[in-house]
Amino acid sequence: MITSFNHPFGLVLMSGEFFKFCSILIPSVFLAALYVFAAWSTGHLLLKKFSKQNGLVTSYVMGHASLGIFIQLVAVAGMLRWYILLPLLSSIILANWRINGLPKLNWQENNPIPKSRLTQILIFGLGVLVILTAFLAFSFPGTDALAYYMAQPKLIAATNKYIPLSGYDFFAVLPAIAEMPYAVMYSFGGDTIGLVAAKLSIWPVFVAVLSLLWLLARGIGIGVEAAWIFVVLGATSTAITLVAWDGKTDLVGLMYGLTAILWIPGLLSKALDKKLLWLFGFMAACAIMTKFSYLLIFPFCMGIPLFLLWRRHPRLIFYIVINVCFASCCAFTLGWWAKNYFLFGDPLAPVFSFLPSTPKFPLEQIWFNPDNTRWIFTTYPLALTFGLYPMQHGGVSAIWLMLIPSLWMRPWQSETGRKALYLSLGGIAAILAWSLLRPSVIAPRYFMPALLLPCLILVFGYEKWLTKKRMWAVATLVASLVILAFHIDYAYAAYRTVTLPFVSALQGKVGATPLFDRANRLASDSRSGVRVLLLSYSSEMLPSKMIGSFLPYTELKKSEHLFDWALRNKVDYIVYDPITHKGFDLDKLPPSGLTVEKIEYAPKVYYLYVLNRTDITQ
Amino acid sequence: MSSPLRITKRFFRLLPFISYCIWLVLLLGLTWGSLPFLTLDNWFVPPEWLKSFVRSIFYRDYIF
Repeated sequence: MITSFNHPFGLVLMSGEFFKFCSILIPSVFLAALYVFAAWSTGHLLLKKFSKQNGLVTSYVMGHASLGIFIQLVAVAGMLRWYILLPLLSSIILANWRINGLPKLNWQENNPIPKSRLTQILIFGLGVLVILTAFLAFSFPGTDALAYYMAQPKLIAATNKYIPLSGYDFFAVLPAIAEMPYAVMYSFGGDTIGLVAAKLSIWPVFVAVLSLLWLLARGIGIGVEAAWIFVVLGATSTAITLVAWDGKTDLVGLMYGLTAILWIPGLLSKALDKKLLWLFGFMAACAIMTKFSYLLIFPFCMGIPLFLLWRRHPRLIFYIVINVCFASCCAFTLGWWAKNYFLFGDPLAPVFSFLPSTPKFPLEQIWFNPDNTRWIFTTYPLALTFGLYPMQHGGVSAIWLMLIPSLWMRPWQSETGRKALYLSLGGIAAILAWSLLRPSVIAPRYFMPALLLPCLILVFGYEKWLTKKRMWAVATLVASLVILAFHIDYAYAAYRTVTLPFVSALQGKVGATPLFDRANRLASDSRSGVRVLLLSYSSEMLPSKMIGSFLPYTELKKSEHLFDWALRNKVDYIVYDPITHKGFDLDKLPPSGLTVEKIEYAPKVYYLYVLNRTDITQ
Repeated sequence: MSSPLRITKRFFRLLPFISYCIWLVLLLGLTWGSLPFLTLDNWFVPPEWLKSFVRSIFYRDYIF
């Protein structure tokens, strides 16, 4: 039994309920691991011969994207069933094992262990943070994940086909390749194990993102110690860590985007390999499909470094662009246009929408009024790090601000420095473009690759400090350690806030996670054809049997009282979150023929109204 | 060279580094005050004035 959430090892001390907990945890970990192996095997089979260490992560990312595209097509075809997915994933793993064998790491060639004791402590702290993040993933999803990111795949798994989620049909015009692993988890695991497995499946993506930061720094020639600072910069960016465990899929886009940047032609090698051009184009397209906002920044993030790297060979630039565009179009066709063609008959939506029936995705977004937008713009670029604006959801680590003085070392003079400079210029141009075209959309996770790229030149400046101004480097390292300690503390606080109550709720304790209690109350209704009116964003918490048939609040008529409308439409439950859905009067007496039971899960936040129609109960 | 002069020269030579250390402390403070979840009885709970200061600069209400 849990006696307190405050115990740091509360997870281990629950001996009484330990087996119940394990019966959810073990299958969830197994499912998430199965998908990692399937993704890596797919990528390894597709890429087969790539250069050593880059190959391991690149194979996983390539496979993740390819599987996402394929499973989305399976869903569009209405065939997303576990007995189709299981042989598919198993045969991919077995085929890769038979053809290519197990992954091999060649540490000797690229030794990641630094000589400095302080950097070794930094790596230890990083390890603690990464492990804590895995624990955080074992929690109830965050708001956006409950509203769409996890709800849409749950609906796909429940119906075995791609049906747009009620109230969010405009999102369905965008590709959902990042959400497809979730659909696989729900398909295999059902509501509870599927939820836990889906959330755990993002943790390997988080690790892959950190690995890509390491590979990118090392790939352009930055030393081991400075490369670790770049990784710590990523791991202490809340725009990365917050989405590593709350159920959102932003990190998948970042992972694809960083892989595309890693394989920018001419960055790692001067040789021009057509296979790499295709990989670059494919991954860039997948990143845009996963995070649509990247469409605005990638022409700068990738176009500027590409142009600067090949500026002495204009004909080759043309050759590269043609090949990259062709590869991107292939990816768009399979992952986006084909899906939209079969679902809406309008393949190029939302960029070019030709049919009036196609749901309209809001391409223009305004989050704040002009005064507040002006204020946000004034606080740039500090707001990108310390900003707490609504919906910002994290920022980039303050380590980049710590490293700005390292530019005095003029790190751009060597070949490595020039490559870092080209990437940094691309990133800065992308940030400028974003801040000018979307000034009120202050969400670093929407353009994270652009924020990470300028840090490369700063990190290379730090490397110069290591050799020429050791005292400055040590001060930065100590400050980075303090930032890491803050993040470990915040992750530990989050662990107590989100993980322990969720574990407790899974063991049957009522009140620990109110949303989960409400979901369980709905799931306990064994009737078929139950109708739920959702005055809430949390559609994911509806059981599989109800998620395809719930009524969104947009269907309500203002002229009619809610209970009258509910009686007329034979509604059985009203899920009500007054904090997000104000203006509904549910305290009024119900009309004759209807009795209403109000269940409060959290005062003024989460309610469930159980509606009993006396005409059917009598 | 007299001792006070030597100390003054040394101070001015160290001034950029001292300024850098102040810069680092400032950034650490702002990071501490802006991190989420640090409201529980944790190891390093930031003081209320620091959180209010960060919020006064980096928070504005949205349009809705």
